[in-house]
Amino acid sequence: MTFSYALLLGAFFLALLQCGIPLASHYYQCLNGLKWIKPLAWSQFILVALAIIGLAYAFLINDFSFVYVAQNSNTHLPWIYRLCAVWGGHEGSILLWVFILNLWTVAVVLLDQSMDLASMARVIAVLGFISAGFLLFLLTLSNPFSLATETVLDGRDLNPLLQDPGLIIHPPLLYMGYVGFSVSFAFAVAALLSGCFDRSWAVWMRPWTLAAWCFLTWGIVSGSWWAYRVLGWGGWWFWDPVENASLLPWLAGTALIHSLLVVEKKELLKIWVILLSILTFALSLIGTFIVRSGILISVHAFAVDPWRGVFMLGLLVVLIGTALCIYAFKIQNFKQPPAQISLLSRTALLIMNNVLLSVLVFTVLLGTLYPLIIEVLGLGKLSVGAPYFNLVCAPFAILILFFMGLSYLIPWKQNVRGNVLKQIVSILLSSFSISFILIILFSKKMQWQVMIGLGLAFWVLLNTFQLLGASFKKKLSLKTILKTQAAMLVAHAGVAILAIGIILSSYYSVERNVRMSVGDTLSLAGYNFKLQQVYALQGPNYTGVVATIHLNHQSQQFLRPQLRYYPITDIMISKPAIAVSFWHDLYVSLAEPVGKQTWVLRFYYKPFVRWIWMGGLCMMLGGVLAIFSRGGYQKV
Amino acid sequence: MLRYMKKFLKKMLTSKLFLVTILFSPLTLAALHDLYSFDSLQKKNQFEQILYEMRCLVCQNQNLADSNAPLAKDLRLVIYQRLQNKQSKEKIKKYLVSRYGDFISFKPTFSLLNYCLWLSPFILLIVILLIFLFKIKKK
Amino acid sequence: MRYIIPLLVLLIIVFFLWQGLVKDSNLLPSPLINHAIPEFSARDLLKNHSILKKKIFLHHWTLLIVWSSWCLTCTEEQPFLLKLRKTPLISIYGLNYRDELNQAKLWLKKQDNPFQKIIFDPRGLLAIDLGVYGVPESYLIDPQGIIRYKYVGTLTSSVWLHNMAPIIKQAK
Repeated sequence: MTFSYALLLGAFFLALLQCGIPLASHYYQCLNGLKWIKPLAWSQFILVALAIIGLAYAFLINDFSFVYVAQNSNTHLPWIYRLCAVWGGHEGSILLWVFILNLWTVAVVLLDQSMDLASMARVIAVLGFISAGFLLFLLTLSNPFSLATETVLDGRDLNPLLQDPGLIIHPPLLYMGYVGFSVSFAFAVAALLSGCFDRSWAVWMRPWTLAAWCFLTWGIVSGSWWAYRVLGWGGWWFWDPVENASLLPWLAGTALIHSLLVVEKKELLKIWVILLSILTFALSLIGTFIVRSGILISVHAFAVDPWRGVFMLGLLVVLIGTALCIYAFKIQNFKQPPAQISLLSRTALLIMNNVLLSVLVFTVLLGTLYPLIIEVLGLGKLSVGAPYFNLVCAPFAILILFFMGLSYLIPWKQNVRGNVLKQIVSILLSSFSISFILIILFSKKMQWQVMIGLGLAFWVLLNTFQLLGASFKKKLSLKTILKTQAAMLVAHAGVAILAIGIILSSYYSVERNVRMSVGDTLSLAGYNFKLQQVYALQGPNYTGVVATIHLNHQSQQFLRPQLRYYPITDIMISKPAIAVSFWHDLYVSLAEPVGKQTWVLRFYYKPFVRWIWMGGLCMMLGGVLAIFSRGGYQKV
Repeated sequence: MLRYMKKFLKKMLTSKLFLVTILFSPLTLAALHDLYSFDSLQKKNQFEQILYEMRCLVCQNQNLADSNAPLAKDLRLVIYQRLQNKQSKEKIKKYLVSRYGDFISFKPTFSLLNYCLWLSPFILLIVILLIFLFKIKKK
Repeated sequence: MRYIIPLLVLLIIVFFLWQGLVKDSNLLPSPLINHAIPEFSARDLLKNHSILKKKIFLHHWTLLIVWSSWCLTCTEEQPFLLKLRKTPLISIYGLNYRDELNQAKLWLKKQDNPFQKIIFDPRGLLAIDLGVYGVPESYLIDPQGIIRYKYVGTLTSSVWLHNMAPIIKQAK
């Protein structure tokens, strides 16, 4: 047993105490034990932090006595990737999970000053329960500190596709999001246990849920950007089961943050909030399971071990099953005021939003699991991929964009002024006219899908301007706008920008698959690409070739796509070269040689593709603003 | 409102994008270097659509357009040749499914088996909306 | 009562996920089972001038092995195939997939030739027509030219005994 393993064992027992003490206090009606909650949480955090630092150190000094280090690293690997290899494989990624869970726990302990000790204790207890479950997993089936039986001189190296800056930011951000939703889960369960769920719970939950959502948004955006830069064919979303695994909690989380607003303002939708909190975390867990179990075919190559899958499934049943049992028992005691929702109110629109997002969750989950369901039922073996998801999700995206813009014109109060209908029609007409004009002007061919999508994106943007204009007319100060409306405006504008990026890059991209010899020139999208030379290259742990392509443009630019061969893992990857700009990307990747000086290359013209990630970051920025803004509970 | 529109249009017209796109014709057809050249844009689009909808069976998480596996290259050539022989997109897809099974198609068929998959999102949406309308009307 | 619904939904999903774990089959079922072998015209690997067609599969049971010289696991099948060749039950034909003529001939010299006839398929076109997606693969074809069984992977005697031999026995 190594020292680090002992640390984790200690953390496990602390987690059990963290969970057990509040339960005991409640059972024995004695509040004395609660004062230990905060020190327990801190101690557990420190132990886990030391463990992960120990693992990182082992990677840095190339300690191959640990099996995990030997499997995922190599002396020739650059130091930054050696560090990030901590989460490059299964065991380390679970340790990261636990570490981030404890990070959130101490954050709640540290930052939440407005909660009473009993309530906080319940929240921390739930988090401790989750932590105990995952620590047990680490200790039994996923030990990153298991010692090798035979010493190796050098390790197996990290998968070349992971040796990219994307590995540095994407997994930690994604985990911060996934695991962050355990906090809202803990709040929901704690509220159920306490027997009351009122406005104050919603106020406590909101910043944590928003923070988790922001991290998850950033994590998904960075993952998409990483795939685009590395995978060699200009794709940024493949509806791969692992990608869907991150999208599902995001969709549920979005519904959750909007529902929290309604609870704060109107004390409605409480059951929605509780169920959504449980659902979002459940989807995080299901996602964690899918990635590591190997039951669905995907890009992620986490080591597949059926026992690990069984344990994770068990963890899922215990955590979510317990929560849902508590829900079934306690929800009957919840008193909700009779809902008086008029059809044309913002509350109704938010409910509509919830319904749309929830059905989307169902759709993506069904599509992802459908091949599995069909196979289990013995009805054959089929695939459900991008064509299905794109077709089915499009109508929902249209509806969401429409209602998003509509919500700016319909205030919280129930009485809707008569001329709202006039406003709606006029802004709708303007948005579609702009869209129509732009399409005719730039592409000379009408494509109705682009017209609708672009029109709706402008619908959202024009409504944004309209609302800002109305606020300025009311002489509201910038500070007030920032505190009340800015978050919503920025986040939704982000969605519109994302939509524009998706539609235009999907419909107007051009791909050329060509055979070029040195000296040839290809013209695409008004640019000329000249293949000047191809020469050999040597890296720290790879060899390969790089092509120099001269792009004729005002700023003389050279694109250098590469083909790299990593001898230790015996893998060859194609590293594309991208000329980035605000309006479009020019993307080149080297496919294969077909002779002495002739190569097959792929060229892509991708208009507005950067807008996709800019839109995503804009949404995240809106979320950050929301954490610091006044929120729904304000007298309007 | 109109002011904003005018400003926006003015900016667009003077930007690089405008200059690039009026010079750019998306109809870059059969050129000297293309690996697969077609005599009509429609055929090229059909080719790209088929590749996008078919799974590569070696690198199973990629479609035939992206995969560099030898089988993918062979299949691309087969699809290209069939298109040149004026076979329809549906016929080519049917051929591939007849040899490799439904697994190769990323787009599930709209058959009795898959009605649930294709229609349930919309049915669910309508049902939930009806429930809500009913509840609101009751009050 | 309706408050138990979420729990039930969870249990249903978990059931399917668990079944997915337990089953864990990565093999693709072939849609060509009980269908006739397609028409083709290809060169014989060893006899340059000879053209092979669908009729070579008629009137006797055939085991068609898809192999290549660059396939490392194909060599593992060889001992079993050489043993099977001695049985009068079945003819063993080979489909040489995406290979170079000389490399294939060299491989046969080194590994010994269990095949009575070998179809040379350098571009992999017949293989695609058969739904081949990797090497090695094996097909069991009956005297009417119908494909009765397909196995993906190295053919072993247990696969032969449990999956293929019973089909031949049943037909008699």
